[in-house]
Amino acid sequence: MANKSNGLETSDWARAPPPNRPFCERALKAIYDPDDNTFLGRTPKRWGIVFAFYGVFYAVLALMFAVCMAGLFSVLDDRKPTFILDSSLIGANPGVASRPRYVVFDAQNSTNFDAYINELQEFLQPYTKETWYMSKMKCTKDDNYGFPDSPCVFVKLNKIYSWMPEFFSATELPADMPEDLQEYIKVVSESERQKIWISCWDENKNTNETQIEYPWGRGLPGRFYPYLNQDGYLSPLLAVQITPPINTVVMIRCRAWAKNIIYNKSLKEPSGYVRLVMNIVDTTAVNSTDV
Amino acid sequence: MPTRRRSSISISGRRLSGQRVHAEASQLTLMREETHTGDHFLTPAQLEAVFRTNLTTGLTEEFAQELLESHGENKLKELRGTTHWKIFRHNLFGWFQCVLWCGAILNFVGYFFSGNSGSDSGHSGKEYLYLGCVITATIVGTGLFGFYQEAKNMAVMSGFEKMIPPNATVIREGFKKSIPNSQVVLGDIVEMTAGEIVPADVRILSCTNFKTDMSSLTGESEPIKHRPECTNTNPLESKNMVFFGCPVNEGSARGIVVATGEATEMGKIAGLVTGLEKDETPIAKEITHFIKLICGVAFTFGIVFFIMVYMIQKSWLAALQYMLGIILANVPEGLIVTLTVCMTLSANNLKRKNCLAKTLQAVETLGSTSCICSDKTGTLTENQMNVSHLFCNYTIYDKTDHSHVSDHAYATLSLAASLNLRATFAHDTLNLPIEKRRIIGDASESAILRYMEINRSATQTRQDNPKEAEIPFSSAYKYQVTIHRMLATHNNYLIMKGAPEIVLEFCVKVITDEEDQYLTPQIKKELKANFTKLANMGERVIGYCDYQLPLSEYPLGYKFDTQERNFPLENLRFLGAISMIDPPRHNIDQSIGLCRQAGIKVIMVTGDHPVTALAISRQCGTITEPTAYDYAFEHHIDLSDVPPHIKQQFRAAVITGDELRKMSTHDLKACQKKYKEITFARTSPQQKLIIVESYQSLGHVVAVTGDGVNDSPALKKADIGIAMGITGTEVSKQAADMILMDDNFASIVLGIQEGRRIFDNLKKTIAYTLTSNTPEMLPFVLYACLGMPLPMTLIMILVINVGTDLLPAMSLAYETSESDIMNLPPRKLTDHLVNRVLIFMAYFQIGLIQFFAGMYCYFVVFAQSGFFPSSLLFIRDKWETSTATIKDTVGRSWFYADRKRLERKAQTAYFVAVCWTQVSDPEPEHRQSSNCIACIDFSALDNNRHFIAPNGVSRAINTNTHNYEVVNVFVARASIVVAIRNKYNNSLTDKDETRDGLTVEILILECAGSLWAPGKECSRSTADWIVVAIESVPTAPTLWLVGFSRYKSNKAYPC
Repeated sequence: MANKSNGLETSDWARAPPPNRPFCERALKAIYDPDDNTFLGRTPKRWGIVFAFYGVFYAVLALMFAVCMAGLFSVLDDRKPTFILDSSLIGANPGVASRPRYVVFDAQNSTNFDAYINELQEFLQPYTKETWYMSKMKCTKDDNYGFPDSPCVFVKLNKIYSWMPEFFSATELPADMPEDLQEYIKVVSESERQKIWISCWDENKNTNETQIEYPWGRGLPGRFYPYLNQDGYLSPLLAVQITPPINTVVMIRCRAWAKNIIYNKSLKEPSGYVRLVMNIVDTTAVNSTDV
Repeated sequence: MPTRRRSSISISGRRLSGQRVHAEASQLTLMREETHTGDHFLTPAQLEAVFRTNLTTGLTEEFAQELLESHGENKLKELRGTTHWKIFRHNLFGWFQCVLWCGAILNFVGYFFSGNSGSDSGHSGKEYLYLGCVITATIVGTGLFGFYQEAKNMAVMSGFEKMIPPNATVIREGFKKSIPNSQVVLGDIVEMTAGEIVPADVRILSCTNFKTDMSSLTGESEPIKHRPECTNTNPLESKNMVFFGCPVNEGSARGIVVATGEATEMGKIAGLVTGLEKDETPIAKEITHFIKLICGVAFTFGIVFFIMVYMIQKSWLAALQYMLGIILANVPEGLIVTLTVCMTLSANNLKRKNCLAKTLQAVETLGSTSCICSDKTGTLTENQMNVSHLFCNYTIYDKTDHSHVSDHAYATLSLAASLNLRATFAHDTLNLPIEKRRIIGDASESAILRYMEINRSATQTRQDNPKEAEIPFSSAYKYQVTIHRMLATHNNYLIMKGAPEIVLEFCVKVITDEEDQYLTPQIKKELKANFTKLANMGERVIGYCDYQLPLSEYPLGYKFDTQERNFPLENLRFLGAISMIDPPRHNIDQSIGLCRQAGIKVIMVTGDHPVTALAISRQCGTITEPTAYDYAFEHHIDLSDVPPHIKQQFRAAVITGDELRKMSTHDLKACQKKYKEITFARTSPQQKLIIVESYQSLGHVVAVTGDGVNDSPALKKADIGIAMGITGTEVSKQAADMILMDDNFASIVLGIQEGRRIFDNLKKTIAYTLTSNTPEMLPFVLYACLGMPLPMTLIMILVINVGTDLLPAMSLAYETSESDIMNLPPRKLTDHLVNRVLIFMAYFQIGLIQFFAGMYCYFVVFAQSGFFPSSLLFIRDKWETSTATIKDTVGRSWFYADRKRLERKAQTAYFVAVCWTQVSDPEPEHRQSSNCIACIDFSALDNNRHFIAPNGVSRAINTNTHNYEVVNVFVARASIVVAIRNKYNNSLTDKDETRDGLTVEILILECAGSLWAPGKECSRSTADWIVVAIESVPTAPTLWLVGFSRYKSNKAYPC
């Protein structure tokens, strides 16, 4: 039998339980406990350990991420994308774009279309140093790009890395190509045919009120291709001067022609053309017609 | 039900019980009190008056009909189990499901809003709709799955046949009538014979050798022999009362019905069961806790986002949508599926091992059990008397010791015991093995017959030496005599059997192996000491003596007359004694040992006598240490004479129902805390309930095992009630949560293991699913704050949560249990399924790794397509505008459709990266106790209490060689006292000591953070931790870490 009493029977509690304190005191104690020297339940040393742990952990994680990214950049060519043409998501079918994207203004209000002029001026700024651009007479800053009566629209192809257009020869022009363009192509010399042809038309073919001119010719010169992220490369442009009827919404569609530009006339998945809205409002003109 | 009770009282107006029913007294308290009626005190004439009946002719039909109408039918109200609707509701609208429902509804709301606003944010309206639909489908799907599982188990349950309503024989208007049991009314005169079931609570008027089996009511395995006299103030103990539902074993009786239906003792207990409500299961509590935590996290992040996005974008709607995305990212939609699968798997596993869980959660509850209150009869024991010892030749032989069969004394005793028997094997079972044969006869006779049949083919012996005469046993003279014509000696042989002290008085000689000795007072004393020894082992002792009737005086064919007693009944020779006990089930000690090793208290709660209970407790291993009873036996004194200072020292105790009645709730709790091992004996159903509740209030998760009606209130109240499938009564099965179909206690151990495994696996699952929340959330930060194209869409979050994460998470449910799962103590209530450590690890450590992996892949995809990381910043608005073109680093212009395609590719890369890191996430072991001892402590130490982690011990020490354990380590003034207890002789020591050839050295290894040398002062103020080790020198030079104490709390050690 247990006969040695060493205080065991009574030592179930070696200390009195902690006294009940009022709430605010307990709250204060939770923030800072002077007995244990703890802030929010941890001593400064413990907090140090916690922060050190997370510091090291995140540092290592960041380091690993950095190493991975460095590895990525080391294998990437920053001038040439990894995936080009058909293997890339952007594809090998360049999109056709226009500047401005839409033309809607009041002809009487010069501030209204000045915005377009400024936009175009800004857009064409890099081109002013190009010799081929300097030779152009119409659709320049000097004639306010045709604004307000017959604004110029600049059509270009989106850059596709290492994309090379396949040009049409005079004998194999597609059947759906507008006749005026076909005739135009047939007239020009063989060397002049190395171009991506552009044709624009009013989507409402019944009205022949819209006049479309091509002051810079009808094609984007082939010498600009392929695009290989050359320094100072500028996409070739083509000016299209449009004189739409006043106070009418006109949908202009410009299509680019090359053997490897696929045309999809669908509006949902457009390709091979650009569409722009044109509406020149002229209140005086309205009044005059009314009268 | 209470109204009926009250009405019956007011009608008869005969209750002597002091417990008057007050209208304001709650039904439950009322039931918990033990109500006693006084019918057993009354004389037959009084009874006749009280019940307005006639003892000879019975009730009149009209009056019986009237009573039947006013008191209702004599049957128990059917226990209403969980209805299908309840299971359905709980499966579809539980806590967790409600959170998911909220998520689904938020999605539908998001769908409506986004429909109005267009696709300004990264998500289209349809995505919200899909998300809402999928979440709804998840809830409904898993809910139905869980419902199906539980309903299936219910169906198995209802397969148990109800008690068939038998007929009762009543006397009405002077005629015997057989009426259905349910028609029996108060005051009916009933006749009962063997084989029937007592139709109601009956006060016996006259009886012959009438015995009923009250084990389902009191837990007493021995049939009770009844007499018409009142023998006890407690009607349950009084011999003149028999109770509803008890089978009649022997004899016949006539009595008056004093209670019917719900008012019967059985009905009261059944009523007690229906009135009890269970606490929430531990796993439900954990899930609630988890939901609170996860909702806290989700809403905190959600609101932070809401504010952040609003500051940046100045749009309420966009901010709301981001908030929604964040909240959804945080709610682990797949978890509920995993949970159900986890539990179903384990439930099925257990079912295969004949352990039927009525609810899926029951299995996990079993796993967190810290205390098992087990009924003795039928649960720990076989509920069948068996011979355990033979005493002859001054020696006590064990039943398994067959080496003395040929010894003279032993052989003679066996012969006498075999011949004297009245019990026989039932004819139809004669072909079966002896253990399985049915025996007609009382329990002790059956035990002897079974034993003797195995030992020396008793049936054959009895046929060879036919019985000539017999004086049957009578309580008046307490012996039984038979006379046999012996085949071998051709003379008549007289055998007397009875209580050993009684039969010893008829003897003058005692048999030994050598020769017969004459009884001297000395020898008598020695013999009696042996009887006491057997009795103290909780065994029933039967003594035998014999007399060889001389052939000259009593020739063969002599007519023995048992009435005239024309033969001698004195100068007999004492042969020996046989003792019997209802033995513990096979291997029960191993099962209990496993439970104890797993840190679970096993408490025996029985209606049986304390001495028997103690003996069985010892055999089962629920009590291993000395108790006051042992002291009393050793010193041959009465229990009440054990000095209090000695009583104080015991760490094990037997507490009887009477003692319990005198205790207050506080006393009981103190006892339960003080004694490590307790056996409760002679307890009533109400007391069992109180014991269970008391343990529950001490913070234990209590499992109760039982089979009788008397256990059912406790079964219902327990956190998990476990009923016996074969021996269990219908009421107990209804009240239980789990049923052991083969009555095998070992299944409980298995269940505990399964339950713990579920908890572990759930923890792993949750840790696993939570990690993907960070990579699901952070993309929104990048999108909203840094304006990067969205790396992850809401649909992808859903795909991860209920798609790709689901199978790996579910596979964790199949994870086998950790090898030490049964060596660890039960989970503490503070040890939650999900705690801060787990959240931090999931969100800020593993989650971030996944996020960075995902972002890397995202950047790779963009960079390879020409968008270098720098070109992705702050482009959100332009990116989402369908008319804008965006230039990449190479200078190419990207239309909306093209860049959206690229975005989807990047999102896919991000998604795959997250999935990949998720799948390859090496799931760390989350059981804190296994990898960080300091953590256990912290949770246990809320009271600055000096603490030793015995759990730290069990892992490090081979239990076979572990003779010593540290009891306490504490600081007395300036020195450390380590109390060490020798497990074998229970001695305490506080210093180095040599004993049993074992040198025990106590090494205090560490104190105040530095190595401690004897003599070095370790004061209370400086001591931080004390690590103590014991070294046992001669056996093995092993160092055991046995415990540590800490003196300053509120210091968490990192895990």
